[in-house]
Amino acid sequence: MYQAYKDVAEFRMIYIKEAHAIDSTAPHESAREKGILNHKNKEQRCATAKMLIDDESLTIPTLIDSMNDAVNHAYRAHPDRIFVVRTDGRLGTAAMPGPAGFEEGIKDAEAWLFEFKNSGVEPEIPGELLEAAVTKEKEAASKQESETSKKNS
Amino acid sequence: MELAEFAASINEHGAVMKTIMTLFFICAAVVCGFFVVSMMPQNREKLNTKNPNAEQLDRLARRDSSDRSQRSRNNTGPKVGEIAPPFKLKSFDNQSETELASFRGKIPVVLIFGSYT
Repeated sequence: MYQAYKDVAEFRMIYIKEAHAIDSTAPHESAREKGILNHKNKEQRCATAKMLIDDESLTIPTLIDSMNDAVNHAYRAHPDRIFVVRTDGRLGTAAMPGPAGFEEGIKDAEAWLFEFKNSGVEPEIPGELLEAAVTKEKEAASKQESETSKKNS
Repeated sequence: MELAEFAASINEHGAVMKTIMTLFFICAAVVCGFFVVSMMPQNREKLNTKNPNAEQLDRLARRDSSDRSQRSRNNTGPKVGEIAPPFKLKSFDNQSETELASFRGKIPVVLIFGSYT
């Protein structure tokens, strides 16, 4: 997918905390083979990410989530997940997290990119979803505004 | 004696001919079947298309936005249509930094979250 659509979209892999490290509640065989433990610091996280990039010969630019897992939490991305972000900053696709969701997410992202590449226009966000998102944003802004005015008064 | 051999020969040839005819009819039926199926409207379109991505087009066309929306609606976390949570992260080699907002108004971004295990 990266090779097919890198001319029309930016791709970023965001390396997040390990899903099945040796010292996790659900260790995976690959973690034992590679000696992958939960990261205690940024250096360890970067080192495991590099191992992944080298072993899988990844060419997608890779970013590292902070040690407080802020981006992972914001996107509820653990253990893996895929999104397409439109040029207006809104989400064009949002798969479910986890292996099953990831597979579907790849197909959704590919379908989105395919439509975009062939039509030159970003696929529209269904009206009801956009409306729900805007309402949520307005509510959040109003809440923030009232909290600010309370603090000031 | 010769007459009996001649009669046996005819019988033998008759059996061979019967087998050949049976095979012929089976082949004809298979060819006709293939022809009828290939002439069905949806398949005729595929045969006539010059687009090498026809199969991919067909597959992707079936994944329309309503399917994507339905999946998104059932999800936890950010949904289709919502503003993507902002972030600024460094590359694995600490050589560069990427801010999601820097792509706004320019190009879509595919975000792939994952780990080794």
